[in-house]
Amino acid sequence: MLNNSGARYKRSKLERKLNADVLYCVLLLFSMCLIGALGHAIWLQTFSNVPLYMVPDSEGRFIPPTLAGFYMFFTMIILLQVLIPISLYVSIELVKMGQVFFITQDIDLYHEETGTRIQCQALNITEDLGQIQHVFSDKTGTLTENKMVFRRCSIMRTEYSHSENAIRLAVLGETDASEDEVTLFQQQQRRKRRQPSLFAEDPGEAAGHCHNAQADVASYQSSKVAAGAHSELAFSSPLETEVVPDRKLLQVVLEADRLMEEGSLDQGPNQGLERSLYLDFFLALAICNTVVVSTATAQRQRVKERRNSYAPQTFWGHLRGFLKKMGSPWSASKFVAGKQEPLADPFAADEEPPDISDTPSIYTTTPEGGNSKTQSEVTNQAQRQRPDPGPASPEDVCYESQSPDESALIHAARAYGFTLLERTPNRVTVLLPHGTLLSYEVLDILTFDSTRKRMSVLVRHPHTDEIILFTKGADSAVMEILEDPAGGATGIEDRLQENVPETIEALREAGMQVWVLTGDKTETAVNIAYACKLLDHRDLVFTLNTDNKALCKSILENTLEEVTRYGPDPAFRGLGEGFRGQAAGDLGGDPTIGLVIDGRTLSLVLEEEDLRSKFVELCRHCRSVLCCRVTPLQKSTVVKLVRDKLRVMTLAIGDGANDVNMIQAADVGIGIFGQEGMQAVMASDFAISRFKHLRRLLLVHGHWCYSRLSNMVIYFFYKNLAYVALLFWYQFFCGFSGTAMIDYWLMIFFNLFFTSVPPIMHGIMDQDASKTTLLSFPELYKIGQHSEGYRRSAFWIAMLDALYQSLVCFFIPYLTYQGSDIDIFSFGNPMNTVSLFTIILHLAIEINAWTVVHWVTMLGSVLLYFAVTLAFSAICVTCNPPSNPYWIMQQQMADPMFYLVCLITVVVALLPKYTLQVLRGTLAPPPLLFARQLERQPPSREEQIRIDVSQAPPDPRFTLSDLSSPPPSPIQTLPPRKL
Amino acid sequence: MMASSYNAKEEDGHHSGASGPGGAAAKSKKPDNTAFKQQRLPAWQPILTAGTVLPAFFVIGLIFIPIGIGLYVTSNNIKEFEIDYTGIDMSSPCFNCSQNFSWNSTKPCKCSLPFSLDQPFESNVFVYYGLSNFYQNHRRYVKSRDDSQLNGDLFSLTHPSKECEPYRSGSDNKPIAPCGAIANSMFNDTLELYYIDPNETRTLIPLVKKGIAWWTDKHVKFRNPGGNNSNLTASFQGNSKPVNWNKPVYELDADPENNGFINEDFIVWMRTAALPTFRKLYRIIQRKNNMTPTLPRGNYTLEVTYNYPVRSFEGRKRMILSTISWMGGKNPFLGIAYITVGSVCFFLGVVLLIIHHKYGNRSNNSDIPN
Repeated sequence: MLNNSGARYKRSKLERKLNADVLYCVLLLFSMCLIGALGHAIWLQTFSNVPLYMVPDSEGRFIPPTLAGFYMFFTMIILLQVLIPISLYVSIELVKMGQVFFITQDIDLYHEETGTRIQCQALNITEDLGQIQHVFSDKTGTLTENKMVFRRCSIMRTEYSHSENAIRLAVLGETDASEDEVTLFQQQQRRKRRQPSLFAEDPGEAAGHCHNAQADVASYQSSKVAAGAHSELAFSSPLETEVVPDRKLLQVVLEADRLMEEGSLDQGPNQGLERSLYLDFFLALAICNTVVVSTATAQRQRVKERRNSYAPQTFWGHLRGFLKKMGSPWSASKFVAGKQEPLADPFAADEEPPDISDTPSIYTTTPEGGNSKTQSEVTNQAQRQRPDPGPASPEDVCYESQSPDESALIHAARAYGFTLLERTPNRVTVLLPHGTLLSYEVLDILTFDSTRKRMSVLVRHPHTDEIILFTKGADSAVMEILEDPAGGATGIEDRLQENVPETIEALREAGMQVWVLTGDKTETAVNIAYACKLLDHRDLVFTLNTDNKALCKSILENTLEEVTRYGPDPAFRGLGEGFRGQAAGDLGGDPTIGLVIDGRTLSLVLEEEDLRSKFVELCRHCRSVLCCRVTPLQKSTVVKLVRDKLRVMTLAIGDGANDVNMIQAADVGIGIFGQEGMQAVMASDFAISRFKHLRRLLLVHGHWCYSRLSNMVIYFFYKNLAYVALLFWYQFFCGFSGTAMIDYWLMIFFNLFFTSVPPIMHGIMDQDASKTTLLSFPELYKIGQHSEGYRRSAFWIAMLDALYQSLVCFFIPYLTYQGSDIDIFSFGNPMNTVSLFTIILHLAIEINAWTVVHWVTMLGSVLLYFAVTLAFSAICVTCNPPSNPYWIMQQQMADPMFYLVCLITVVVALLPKYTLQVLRGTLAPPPLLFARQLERQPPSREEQIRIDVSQAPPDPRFTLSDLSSPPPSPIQTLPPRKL
Repeated sequence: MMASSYNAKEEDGHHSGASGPGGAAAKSKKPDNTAFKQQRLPAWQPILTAGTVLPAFFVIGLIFIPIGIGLYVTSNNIKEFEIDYTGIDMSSPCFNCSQNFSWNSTKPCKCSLPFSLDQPFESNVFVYYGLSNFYQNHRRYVKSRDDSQLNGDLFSLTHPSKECEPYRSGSDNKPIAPCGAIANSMFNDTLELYYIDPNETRTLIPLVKKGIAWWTDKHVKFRNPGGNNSNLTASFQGNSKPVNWNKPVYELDADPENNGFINEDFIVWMRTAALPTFRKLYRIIQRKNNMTPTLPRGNYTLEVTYNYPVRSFEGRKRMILSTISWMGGKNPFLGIAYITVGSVCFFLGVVLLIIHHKYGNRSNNSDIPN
């Protein structure tokens, strides 16, 4: 909450551009008014006498022409002020509200397990989602689940691979993947398997459970599991709580525990020490943390009930998270170090130091002032029994931990029988495998911080009174301070979220550069980058990692030189090329370039302006950039650097407090409802639950919002000018006196009611391409990236079209009624009517998809116009002087000329736009139109084409073009005829 | 005792525990899977290509050209005759009248203009007066009226709207009726038509002065104060006549049906013209029978009682005779426009047809990028 600096006011890129165009409108208005003023003055000067129709002021005098012209300027401003699109701003707000409504209603952005929808905190930058060029992503919790799974451990150079645990996870994953249905376990089974630390060591039985799990599928399939219990069970998902102990290790531990209880641990000096270290390892897992134990004897029953009712839902939810994650061969490790033992160096390649915010993970037990050999005594026999009258029974305890890895570790300890039963500020109680209760006095807790990168617990052993320091921390932090190598290490896996590689690929095809900024160390980050296809094995990866500034500079320069040899500047790849030449650009030719830079180097780079420019230049050539070991501040600095130097639209996505800076620095900040609290969500503009939602959010909603809004904005400018210019043309025929030939109520209504709803509806609901098209052709996103929907040229073309249309709408009725006995408001009435039709039909040409809503609003607007005008004309006998509209509409509608004038005017007004649209659609269809044409082609037709093109018999597997891969969207699948 | 109370508590706890998730499920935040909310409403997606819109162009062409021809022929069949009687030229019979002008001249200036019709006017003939360069649409002029007063409102009769300034009250401080600049500048020439038959006898052509205003104007919008059948002289007792008028409003016509505010000449004038060059309906020459034309070809004389000054704004005054059709007066523009637009559309249709044949197929298949 402290990080939340309140609602930020962001202006979207489109709105910034729009403001410039509003300025043009103001200039246009002023020039119109100036013409009016000058015209009036000149017109007045042509008379030698006072004409009959000139009305003197109340004193009977006439003002001089120059002064009259000066006054006329302001009269004109009042008359033509509609040109300044104030209504546009109101409409934009309404449209954005509608857009946000539809975004939040998207069922594909709904996360079933946690029951969270997408949250739109920023209501005014929806269209920015369609213009993103750079994506900055956090890793832990964003690309990955941030649900730690205990995978393996190493104690005193012996690695315990926990293969059964791995099998269990694999089986669950398979089940899930193969069935795409829900696998649920009975709570009973879970409970059984939570206890096997002591009694169910039989691996066969464990495997049997897994089997059962599959068998249970039928009875528990459901896709509509109610969600909502997530917060209650924070970090206690089955993934973390379910640990199948390693058989070998379990035996060793049980043996050690047994020996300790018998008091015979001291026998062999070496073996005893080793055994006690095994115990220390698990004690460290159980004690050295800040987990809160929630259990109370009185509430035991209740807790049990609740867990029974909640767990299947939650469990199912987390199972879904497995989808396709088993394929990623990535795991992170955590170390537990014991002081006296030589370092076991188990998984150097895939260890995972935490993100800065993560909890540390290496353990040391440091007996202070005592000898570790004699640290345990056998407790009295009474305590060996089930400690029912004691603090709690092991089945009842619930852990609430700050971070998911703490939770994973404590559940791992529990699986081996080391159950943390109670934690008070000065006491921790642990239940040992054979029922011994050990109650340590806590002397001090050194909580984790990002400089120390470890946490320690200082406790006094209940029996030996030894003072022991348990430390866990990041491998680097702990290794550095240990004289002797660590003795224990834990391997904890944090899985990739589902569909992360696909999402990254889609974003990239959409022309976005994806950067990952993480606090993790290089190896981990690189591993995950490969796993999520951020880096490809064919990529040319440069790694910048140095302490030395001069060296850093030369490396940067050399790399830049080398990189520029490859291919043209990627930034200049246009949309057309991007769309048509995708294959040539990305697959065939030059290798793509990846860059890995670490925090220290980055800080050197960021220090100097020269280096910063070079760095940015280098990054521009890279397909992906990976920043490791960066601080939250660096994250935001990098985002700002790229945003300002490259002038690109940036998006930052993250889940933790350490991403808040970055999220706030980017043009669009996206928070992920994660395991690390709400700070990121609070700071963000949009909050989603999974990384994969980003794809739909950007490619579909972003694209829609952008194209809708840009169309609507241009349309508004057009509409205002087209209408106002009518009044302006009339000034040439009324001595620039500021007369309006249209009843001023109808003028107000025209903007307010008759022509406002269709564009707003268009801005909310139009679809220039369907969801499926947008997902299967990510290249279409480039339209927004290159701001092709709202260009200055489009603005001016629309303005010219408006001028043309207003000329037509004015002069066809003018020429028709010229010289006749028509009165002012009968003259204005057909103009008003043709303007309405022209403006509405102009929008109709723009509309890409006509739904019921479109028909209703369009027809409704026309009907409303006639209803209101007819009613007004009928009722208003003496009201509203001087433009008394009485019976004008009725009179005109009884006259066939009215219809003939309306018909030809509308046709002539829209002919150029319509024709150009047709020619464009025929001769040079833009990618969007092209995709739509492709989409609607009937299968038979495509079959035909396929033969034409390939000159080969149709093969159902043969794809017509490799514009894109089939959309991996699980919900909406493309019809087979599509690519 | 203890046990039972404990149980009750337990029950309580159980209850709340169970209902918790149930309640959450009921008000699930899951969005409705409806076509509207998921933006899956069935949609018609027109794609504008040469092939799809070809028929539209041809249809427009085929409809517009006949309409245009019809309009053009209709317009051409309308007989129209126009004569300028401003008297700018020294040679013009009205030159003298145009030179000396006074609103309040007691002796009206008369002039007569001979003219001849080449063709007979068959049906009803409408007589218009036309003014040029008269900006009846000037903003301050247009609003210088009081519709309530003209509608017979008694309060407005004595308290005309401020918009009427400076023609709100006369020199005697009585409120003017009808107030305002429009009424004040009412056209007051009198036009008379004589037919000169071959043996040089002048026959006055009867001009009908009723039925020239909109029915709704005459019967709804314009009303005399105190009802149309009241004593107008009494009704306008407290009012002053407009400055430029030489007789009060209740003396506009002898016919009580056409007097006061409901005088049709007045009503016609009050419907301010849209453009500076305009005509206003003055009289109607009704057709007598099917046998003789309303106005046979031959010589005529226009007798003008010249009152209305137009020199100050270099205006022109015209008298127009016109037959009328369903499309109003003579105006070839719309017919020509329809023919032109129809032809353009037809031409575009042909162009698109060619384009469609040359490129249409390409855009549908061979152009698919790969």
